[in-house]
Parts: sequence; structure tokens; C-alpha cells
Amino acid sequence: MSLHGSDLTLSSTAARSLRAAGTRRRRSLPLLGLLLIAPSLALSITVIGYPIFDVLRMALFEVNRFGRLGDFVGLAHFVDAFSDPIFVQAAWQTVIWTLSVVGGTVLISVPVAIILSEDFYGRMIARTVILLPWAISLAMTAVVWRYVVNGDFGTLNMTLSALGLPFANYPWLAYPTTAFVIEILVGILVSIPFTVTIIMGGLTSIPRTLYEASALDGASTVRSFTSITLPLLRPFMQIAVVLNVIYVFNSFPIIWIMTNGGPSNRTDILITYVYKQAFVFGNLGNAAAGSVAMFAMLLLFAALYLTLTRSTETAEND
Amino acid sequence: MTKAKRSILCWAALSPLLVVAIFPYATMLSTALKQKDEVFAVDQSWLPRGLYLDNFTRLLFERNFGQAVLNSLTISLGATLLSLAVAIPAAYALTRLSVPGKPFFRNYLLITQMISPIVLIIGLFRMFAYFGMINSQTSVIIAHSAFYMAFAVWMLQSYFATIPRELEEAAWLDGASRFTGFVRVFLPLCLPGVVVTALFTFVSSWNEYAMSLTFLRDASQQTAPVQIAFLTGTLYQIEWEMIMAATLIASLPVAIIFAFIQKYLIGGLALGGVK
Amino acid sequence: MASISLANISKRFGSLSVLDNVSIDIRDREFVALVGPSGCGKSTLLRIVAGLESISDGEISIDGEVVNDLGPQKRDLAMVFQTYALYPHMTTAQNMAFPLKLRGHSALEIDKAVGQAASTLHLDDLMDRLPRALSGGQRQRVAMGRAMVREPRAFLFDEPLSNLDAKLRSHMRLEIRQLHQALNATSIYVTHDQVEAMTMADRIVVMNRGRVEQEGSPIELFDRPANLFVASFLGSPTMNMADAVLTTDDEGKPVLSFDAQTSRIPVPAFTGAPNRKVIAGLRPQHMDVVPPDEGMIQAQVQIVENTGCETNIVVAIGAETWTVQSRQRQRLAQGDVIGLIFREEHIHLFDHGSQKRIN
Repeated sequence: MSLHGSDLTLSSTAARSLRAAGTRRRRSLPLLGLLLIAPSLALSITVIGYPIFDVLRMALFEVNRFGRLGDFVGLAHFVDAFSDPIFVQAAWQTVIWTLSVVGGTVLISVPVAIILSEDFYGRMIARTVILLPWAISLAMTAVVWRYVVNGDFGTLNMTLSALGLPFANYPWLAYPTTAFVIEILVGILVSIPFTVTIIMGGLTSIPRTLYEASALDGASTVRSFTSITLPLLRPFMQIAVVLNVIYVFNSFPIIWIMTNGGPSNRTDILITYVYKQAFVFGNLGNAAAGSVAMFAMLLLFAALYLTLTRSTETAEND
Repeated sequence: MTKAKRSILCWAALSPLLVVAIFPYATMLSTALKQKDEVFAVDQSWLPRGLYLDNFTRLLFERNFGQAVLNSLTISLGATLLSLAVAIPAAYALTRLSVPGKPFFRNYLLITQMISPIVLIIGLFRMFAYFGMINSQTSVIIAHSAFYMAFAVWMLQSYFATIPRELEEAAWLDGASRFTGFVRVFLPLCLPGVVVTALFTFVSSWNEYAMSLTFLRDASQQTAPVQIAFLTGTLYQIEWEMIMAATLIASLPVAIIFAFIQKYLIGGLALGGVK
Repeated sequence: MASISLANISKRFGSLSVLDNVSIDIRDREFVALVGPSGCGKSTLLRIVAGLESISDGEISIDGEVVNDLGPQKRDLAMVFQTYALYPHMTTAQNMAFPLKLRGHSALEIDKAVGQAASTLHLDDLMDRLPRALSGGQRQRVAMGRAMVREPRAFLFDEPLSNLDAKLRSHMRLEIRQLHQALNATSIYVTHDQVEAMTMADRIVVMNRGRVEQEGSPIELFDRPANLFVASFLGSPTMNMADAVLTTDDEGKPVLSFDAQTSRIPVPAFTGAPNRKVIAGLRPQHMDVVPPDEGMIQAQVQIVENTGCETNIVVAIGAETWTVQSRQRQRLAQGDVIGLIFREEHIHLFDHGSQKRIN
């Protein structure tokens, strides 16, 4: 009878791959599928694909401040940009900005997500308040924080002096270090909601029975955290980190609105540098070269993301 | 541990973050209700003197902020409709039909979701300038839909996948054409998913700053976030009480929408984005 | 009503063959059950008849008209799905009216047809409920009602009872059967449950690995399974099988001996060579327990299962494990040695190589 047993598995695998291929349909339909996808593809190739091509072109050709293209100049724009001390400075600041914001966000988000997954009174209220910064435009968050930390009449100094601390007129945004630190803190605050959401999704995917089993096996709370929660959360954390790196690396409004990259370019990151080169100084070649460099880095992150999600998928299938 | 005890612990642990999260709202509200002399007074306090609403009326009627809100509304509605119009068919094709190159299209969408518009903003600007669409809200609508469409497709896909295929098949056997089956059976069932996706696209478009800032140079065309940021850029004394009133007007509606849809995001993002 | 003919149907996904040259003719008003293990292709075949799935080769015709390229909308068949596939946003009445509405019937006609179906199926009190407010059995009835209202050319059932509990299932079995007698409608019924197939169908088609193993009336299939697969698929408990050797006795008559047993058992007429290895099968119901010395073969008791009306005795015969079903209460314990007797016409003989029936 074992012969028949193996027949069954063979044909049920067949049935599964049949379902997975999603091929339950009639012959004429691949065309319909393409037709339905076409508008979205057309929109995105025009609005995203063409500018990619155009930026590449501007990076490689002579271009005047009105965008007229001239001779092919090879990597000259890249050499120009990379040898601009402000570009190099902005690049370093981008690294600091991205690492601190993403690092701080993950450090805070994991415990917060775990607490928010506990069953306690008013959990929905706490959840909503913590996710709230997500709902507000980054631009407006930046405006409000710019006012909050305003030296003369901001609510931060007002509150600190009320608590008896000597910050009556401290101009936070006037000094590069404090300005950058405050921008990083705001960056962390606005990244927390998304990260908490992903990690909470990961937490709900861990079956309760695992904890019950480990409790029966005599594991302490700490033990079950380190040997169940953390390992099973890992794929979600990896993805949260990569996506956050992408978002933070690209984040424009916070720095643009709070300090405009100043004082003296000390809070510039690549994205604000590129924007200034293009729309303030009209230095399109430099801006395009910077854009291409950033775009290459983004593709690298995206590739990393795709490999990560792919490997978690295969891990799930095993 | 009792639930009451646990609740106290949880709230205590979360309190620093909660304070920081609420701080800007408190600032907004408190400042928006103050009069000018209160804002710049030496002795500041959280509580305004009284319920002073003139900032709002002056903002809407004297400063024409109403126009900015209206612009934001037009752009967000336009972007929501356009991105749903292309995302719904695409998501349907991805969940229900065999499409050549489906994995490629999926990855392409994922990657476009990660590209920041600002990296391409010079190219975008030149393209819209070429078509004479700078200062036209259509350019922002098109740009927003292109960038937010990928997420909409992802969200819709994860909803569509939960609708059993058999329902449509039953409709076909009952005599419904593919289109009738889609409209009378499929669409009513995934309406909640479509609504959540629409709201999310709306909120993203409403809040977007960089593209609106770059393509809409004329003050009469600008969106609320851009106008607010502009108000802070003046060389003269910044009218914080007006700005805070404006941020409140621009944030409150989306914050309320968001509070309603956030619980769908926890499921949707985790499933759609991660898996 | 209609006759449905499937001629040389094949379905392949790339190199994977799901259905291989399947031909079945279903007569007008016939109730045919497609039965087989999961993954055997029976559901795919039903979906092909419905028009939900394309075919790689072959021809499907309804009432003589080839419908290969006709969409499910145009075949005028009704299907009851395993999950019922009731439209969750429509009430019972709306669900049942939907096919008629699509066909543009007048409100009056619809009311009449729906009302009639509802009273046949005892759904009158549930007309305004949404599917989620109905029990499993009620949903099942609504699904049938939706299929009935428009008097389709044939009914297709895709494991319609597999989501119901055992008691309801046997009740619905009866109800579907009665309905078929009343409507006299051509029906194709897919199931993996051999009891459903046996009790409901006029004719059973046993499928395995995308092929038809055998078709015939339930009794034919039970009494004369064409091969090992059908023999072991139908009947509960499963037919006992053992390797055996065909030889001739002193008088030249063919006899059977099991490996472990010396006794020689007379066998029914068979085709092919007289001396060879075969597989012999005996249904658990076709053996009687006797004292060891009176038995045609001896067996040692391993487990005794009392179900109340029957006793299943699992015994060891040499290296084989057999089940014997007895109507009498047996006072047996593990380790007891018993004798088994049976009639020669109950012996099924299968070729050792091809696994096909030879007697």
C-alpha cells in the first residue's frame, strides 16, 4: 500500500503547485491581465522611469542652469560633486543622521511594541497616541517642533524654566550640535509609529502556544523573551531596519524646515544638499550627480530588502 | 499580576514617549488659542487667557488659508481617485489573473515604493516644466498617484486575496460576466479594503511636502503644508499663533481619519509589506 | 436536463499532468459520483465541466454541443461549492434571486421561483438572513436553492457535504438524494467520501492520479473492483490483501495458498496462467470466525474493537495484518488463535504485476 501512499503525495503536490501558479483560468486571460496592469505601469514608468533617465542624462552631460543639455562630460559632474567639501560633509552627516535615527527608533520601538501588545486598560488610547505622529505631515511636525524649541518663546524652554532648569532663552537651533541632535530626536519620534506597527505585526504572528509550551517547560519570562520572541521577531526587525534606513536616508522636510541645513551646512544631509544645488544655486549637473549617487545607494538598500524578504519567505516555507 | 497593576506599569513605561508625542499637539492647541501679545510675553504659560478663536477666522478669511486647504483637498482627492483607478485593476490582475512577468512587476512596485521623489525631483521638475505643468495642480496629482500607487496595490492585493475565488466563480456560473461578477460580487466585498486604501492614499497625499513645494511655485496654488512652512520663513516676526492655528486646521482632520484606520494598518502593513 | 460527454480530456500544467485522457459519458438525469483521493483530479474535472478551468486536450459536450470554448456563464450549469460560496453581502432571498436577476427575469417570476425553491428546501423563515447568520446546514440548503431556482441543464456538486458534521451529513445525503429524485436532474457529484458515493450515485467513477480507474454502479464496483486501487478505495474497513500463490491441487483444480499458510483454498474461475503469484483480497465482512482447527486459515488476534453492533478484529496472518468484521459479539483476547472461513466467490484475485482483477 505504500505505493499508493506515495501516489497521493505526488498528486497533492501537483494540486498545490496548480493552486500556487493560480492558473485556474481560461486561455484568453493573460491578455486581460496585461491590460489591467498596463495603466499602473504606464503611470509609474512615465513619472518614475523617465525622470530616472533624465537625471542620469543630466549627470553625464554639460547642463546649464536652465537645464539645457550640452556635451557629454563623462564623470565630470561626479568629480565636481565629490570634491565639494560640503558634499563630503553632508555625506558624513547623512551617515550620522541615518544611523542615529534608525538605531534610536529600533531601540525604542521594540519595548514599546511589546508593551502595546500586552493586555492593559486603555491600550487602544496609548496605541493611537503613539501612532499619531504618523498621521501628521512631516512638514507640519517640523514646523511645530521648530516653534517648540524656539529659544525665546518656545514651549520647551517655557516648560524647562518652569521646572527650574536654566534654559530660559537657550537657542537650540542656533548651534549645529544641539540643532542636529534635536532633528535626530524628531526623526526618531516620527519613525517610531511605522516601526512599532511592523514589530507589533511580528508579535501577533508568534503563536501564543509557544509561550505556553515554554512556560510548561519551566522557562522564565526573560528566557522565553530571548529564546522565542527575539529570534522569531528577527525577520520583522531586519525589514523594519532596512525600510527605515530607506525612509530616513530620504527624509527631507524635518531638516529643510527646521534648519535648512544650517547653521553653515552643519545639518545638511545629501538630500538637502542636492535640493539646494538644484533649486537654490541652479547647479543642475552637481545636483544630478548627487541624485544618481543617492539613487544607487537606494537601489542597494532595495536589493537588500528584496533578499531579506525572499530569505524570510523561504525560511517560512521550510 | 492583576490587569490593573499591569496597566499602571504599562502606562508608566510608556509615559515619556506619550508626553513627547503629545507635546507638539499641546503646543499647537495652546498657541493657536493665544493672542499675539501672549505668545511673545516674557511670562509664558500653557493655558491661554481665554477661548480666543480670532486666529482661525483671520487665517481663513484674511490670509486666504482656506484656499490652501482647498488646494490640498483637490490634490489629495485627485491623487486618491487616480491611484485607485490604476491600482484596483492592477491588484485584481495580480491576485486573480495570470500575468506574464508577475514577479517582476511585484518587485518593480516594491522598488518604486522605496524611491524617494526627492532623489528624482530635478527630473520630475524638468518633465512637468516641459509639459507646462509647473504651477498646475494636475502635476502634483499625477506625481502623487505614481508614487503612492505601489502601496495602494500592495494594500489592495492583501485584501483581494482574502476574498474567496469561489464567490466569483459562483457568480459566473450564475450567469454573470467577468465584469458583472467583479462589480456586483467582488467589489462590494472588498469595499472596506478599498476605503482603507483610499484613506491612506489621501492622508499621504495631504501630508506630502517636497513635490508640492517644488512644482507649485505660485502661492495661490500651494497646499496647506507648504503654505504653513512658508509662513515660518518670513524675515519679519513669525506669527506663531497663526501658524499653530493653521497646523491645527491641517492636521486635525487627517489625525481623526488616521485614528480610524490605524488598526487596519497593523494587519495590512505587516502582511502586505513584510511577507 | 442534459447529457454530458467528456471525451479524452487531458489537462497539463507544464510537464505536470493533472488529467490524462479521461472519457466519461453522463446520461440525461443520471446521478454520477466522481470519487477518489484528494489530488486525483476529480475536482479539476468538475471545474472543467463548469467552464472554470481550461483543458489541454479533448472535447466536452453538453447535449451533443461542444462547449470547449464556452464560458461558465453560457453553459447553463449550476454548481454547489464545497464552501457554498454564498454571496456574503446578500440575504438568502437575494442569493437565490441573483442568477434569475442576471438573466433579466421579472420580479414576479423571480419571487415565484425563489418562493418555490425556498419551500422545497424549508428556507421560508430564513429568507432575510445574511449567510453569516445561518448554520452550516442552512447555508448548504441556500446554496442548493440558488442552484435550483433557474432549472439548469445539470447540477455540479463539489464536495458539498464535507464541511458538515457527521450527523448533518447523513441527513443532507438523504435530502440531496430525494431532491434528485424529485427534480430528476443530471448531476455530477464530486466527493472523497466513498460512503457518499456508494449511497447516492446511480453510477460511480473512481479516479486516481488523473485517470479513471473504473466506472459502474455502486454494487458492481463493490463486488467486482477492477483493480487493487478500487478494491482498497471502496468499502470500510478496507479490503484485506495478501500475497498468495496460485497452484493446482492433486486433481488439477486451481487452489490458492497464502505465504504463511499451508492450507490450500479452492478459488473461483480466473483468466490467465494457472501457476503464478497473485494478490488475493477479502472484505472484512466476508469472513467468519471459527475455532482454529475448523478454519481455512489460522490467525492470531491482535486487537478487538467493539463498535456496538459490529466487532472489528485485527488479526495477524503470518506477516500480514487483516481486519475481520463480525456481526456477533466475540469473546476474544489478544493472542488468541482463531480460524477464519469464507466463501470462494468472495475471493478477489489480482495480478501481481499489473494489479488488475483476474477473476
